[in-house]
Amino acid sequence: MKTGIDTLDCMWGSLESGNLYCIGCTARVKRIKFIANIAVGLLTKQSGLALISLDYNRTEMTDALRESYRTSSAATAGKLSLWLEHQPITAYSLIQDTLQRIVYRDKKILQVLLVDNLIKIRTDFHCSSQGMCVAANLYLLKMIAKEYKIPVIAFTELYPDKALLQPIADSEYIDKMIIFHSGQERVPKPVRADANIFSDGVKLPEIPFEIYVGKESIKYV
Amino acid sequence: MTLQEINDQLELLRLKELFMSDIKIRSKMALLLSEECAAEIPPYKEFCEFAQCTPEIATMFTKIRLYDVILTQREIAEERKRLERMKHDTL
Repeated sequence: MKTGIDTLDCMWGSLESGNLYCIGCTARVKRIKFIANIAVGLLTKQSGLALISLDYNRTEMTDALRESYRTSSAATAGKLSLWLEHQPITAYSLIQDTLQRIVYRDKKILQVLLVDNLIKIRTDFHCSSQGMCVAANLYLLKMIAKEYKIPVIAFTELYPDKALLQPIADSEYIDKMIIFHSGQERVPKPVRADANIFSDGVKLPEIPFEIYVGKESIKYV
Repeated sequence: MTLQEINDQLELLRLKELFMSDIKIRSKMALLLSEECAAEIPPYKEFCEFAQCTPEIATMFTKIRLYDVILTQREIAEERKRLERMKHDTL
C-alpha cells in the first residue's frame, strides 16, 4: 500500500499493516493539505480509509479533500469509502469507539487510519506532562495498528520544543517517521539514532514545495 | 519451568487479561507505564497499585513486546489452561 506521494513513498516504501507512521509538520507547513493529499493518494490505491481529525473541522477537511481530489488522478479510481470524523477533543477511548463503529458498519472502510493531531490527543486519565501523554498515545496508536492489522499514520504539529519532540523521536512504537519543515525553521534533531527517523540528515522539501498526487503536482505556497 | 516461573507467567497473564479487558484500563496502564518507565523509577509504584501486582511482575510486563499483549479472551483462556496444567504436573 503506497501513499501516492513520491516523497513519502521513496522514503517509506509500502505502508505495512501493524505499523505506526508519524508525520511531523512544523508551523509553516500546511498540514491540512498534507493530510488531504495523503488521504486522496491512499484512496486511489485501496477502497477504504478512516480519518480522525482533531484540529480541522468537517467543512475544512472536506474542502481540502475536495481540492486534493480535483487535482489528483483519483477520479479514475473505483468506489471510495472515506470515514471522516472531527473530534475536537479526542482520546484513545474515543478513537477506539469510532473504529468499532466503523467495523460494525463496514469493515472494508478500515484499511488505513489517519489521525491528526498527535500532540493534542488527550489521555483518558490525568497525565503529569504532555510529553508523557504523547508517549502513552503512541503506544496506544501502535496497539490500534496491531489490533486492527492496519497501517496507522499519525500526523502531528511540531514545535521547536525538545520536551515534546523527544518522546516522539525516541518512541520505539513509531516504525517510520518524517518531519517536514521549512528551511527557515529550526527543528531539534531527534535524539534516537534510528534509520527510520528522517530529519536534518535528509534533503526535505522546503516551502514552497511540491508534493505529487498521481501524475499532477501541487505547489504549496 | 520452575513453580515460581509458572506462577510468574500466570500472574503476567492476569495482567495481560486486565490490559485487554477494557479500553480505559489499557489507556491507564499505558499512561502509567509511559510515566514510570520514562522516569526510570522501578518498582513502578503506581502501576503496581493499579494492577495489584508485585514490582517484579510489573518489570516483566514492561518488557513484553506489544504484540504479545494483544490476546483474545480465547487465547488467554487457552494459555491459562496450559500454564495450570504445567503447574499441576510440576506439583
